[in-house]
Amino acid sequence: MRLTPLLRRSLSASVDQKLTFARLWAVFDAKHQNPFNSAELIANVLQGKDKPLYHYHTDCGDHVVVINCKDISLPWYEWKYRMYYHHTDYAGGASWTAAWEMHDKNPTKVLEKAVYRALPGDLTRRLRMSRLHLYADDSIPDEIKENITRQLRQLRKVPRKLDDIPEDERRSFPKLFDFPENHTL
Amino acid sequence: MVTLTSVLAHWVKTPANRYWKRRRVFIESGHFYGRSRNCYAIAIRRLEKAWTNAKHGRADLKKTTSQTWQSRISASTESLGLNYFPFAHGLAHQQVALGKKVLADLAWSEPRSFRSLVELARNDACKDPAHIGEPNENVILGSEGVDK
Amino acid sequence: MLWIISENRAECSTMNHYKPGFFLKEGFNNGMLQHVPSLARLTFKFCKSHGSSRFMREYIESEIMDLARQCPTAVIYLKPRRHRDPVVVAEYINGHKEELRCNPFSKQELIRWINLMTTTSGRPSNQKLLKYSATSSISIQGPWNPWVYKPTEENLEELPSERLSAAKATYPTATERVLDMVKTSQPR
Repeated sequence: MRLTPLLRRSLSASVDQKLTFARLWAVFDAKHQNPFNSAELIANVLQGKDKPLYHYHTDCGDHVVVINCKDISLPWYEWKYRMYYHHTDYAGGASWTAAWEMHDKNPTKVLEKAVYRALPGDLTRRLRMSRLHLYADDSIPDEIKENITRQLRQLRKVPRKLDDIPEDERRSFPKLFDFPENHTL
Repeated sequence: MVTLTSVLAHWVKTPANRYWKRRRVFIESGHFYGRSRNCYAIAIRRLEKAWTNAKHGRADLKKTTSQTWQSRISASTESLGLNYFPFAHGLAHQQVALGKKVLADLAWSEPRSFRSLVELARNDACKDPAHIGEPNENVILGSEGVDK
Repeated sequence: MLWIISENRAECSTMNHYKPGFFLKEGFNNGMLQHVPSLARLTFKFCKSHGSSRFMREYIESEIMDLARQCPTAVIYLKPRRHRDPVVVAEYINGHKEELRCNPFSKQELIRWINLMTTTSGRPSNQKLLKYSATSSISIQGPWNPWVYKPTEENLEELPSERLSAAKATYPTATERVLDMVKTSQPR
């Protein structure tokens, strides 16, 4: 087949089309992140709202791989007071599970429910949830890891524990004040 | 015999009037489903409802289109590290008179031009507020415009 | 553009109102470099004896030769048939066909309608034009893609990476401010 200018233009147009609508796989580190704020970010990526060709009829969302789901941090006393409701449809079948209890049973469940809530409640919700891959720790299966081409930034800094700070750095930190003589620790 | 004026003569009930009145309605209801296509009493009710929906739809279309443009612009500016409102304000301050529609089109069709627009707006936002001159007269800010 | 095909809207076929809108394939650029006449064929149907064709007959007697000189690329047919209303049929090079019933028209009106038919671009008038501009190259710099704003050194990074994941702080933390104060106060 001869490569005419028209054919070359249409070929490059189809390549442009595939490049523009490429479905990426993004990775997000949930370590020390608020799951409800992170869910909004993840839901936007799942919907494709971070692309300039977003349209509510276009299926242009990305895949999101979330790692370290077991290390999420809830604000205030929410581990204790956030309740997940379930009813078995039998009389007296209502149950309320606290967030810490849910997290003990399944360390990815709190984030999964937060993202499900952040997505719009239409027919595309389940399809978008199927593009969300949650992992409790930082080990990702190889067939998923090879797809990843994009990193989402965390929303807040991960603080360092005192034990993680090396001895030299701790000693070199300036002394701001002295305790008085009669101060008892 | 009563003689009618030319105005009232139009209201005389004749089979011909009845036919054309219904024909006018059935032309508009031709694409409806079921009896609302062919039965006049149902068709006229469905047609009025359809016209009401169409009226609301005309307003909604403008709204959703504008939301789509804004979402597309903010998606591009945020990936370049600037939010929508500083961007829009910076462009207005630099006297770049481009509307939402044109900016949204530029965002996907000419990405490199769009990046230079974002840098223009960012330079404007990063300027020392002491050196910023008089605001553009063409830009009507919400509260100030109302007061004047 | 012929907006009125029939005087009485109720006489139109029912489904004509639900024809889909269309986009321009190319812009209205006929005549910018070269002009291709859009009219291919013009047919005058009339009766030789009936009163309704009176002005059409007058038009043919006096104006038809001028019309033929004006548009030499179009074929003009005269089609007499008995006791029917006069009709003008225009066919364009894009395949579109317009029919115009000319019974109520006087000669002056007929001249103006036929002038419109000969000078129009031949776009179907009963379809809605959805967009008033068209281009063959929608993007000069190439359309947006996910990598267009991405710094190239990020492609070498192995994902998940600490550097790309760490949150960007807007303001320095208290610890950083203390360290900075100490650093700036030492030289004194």
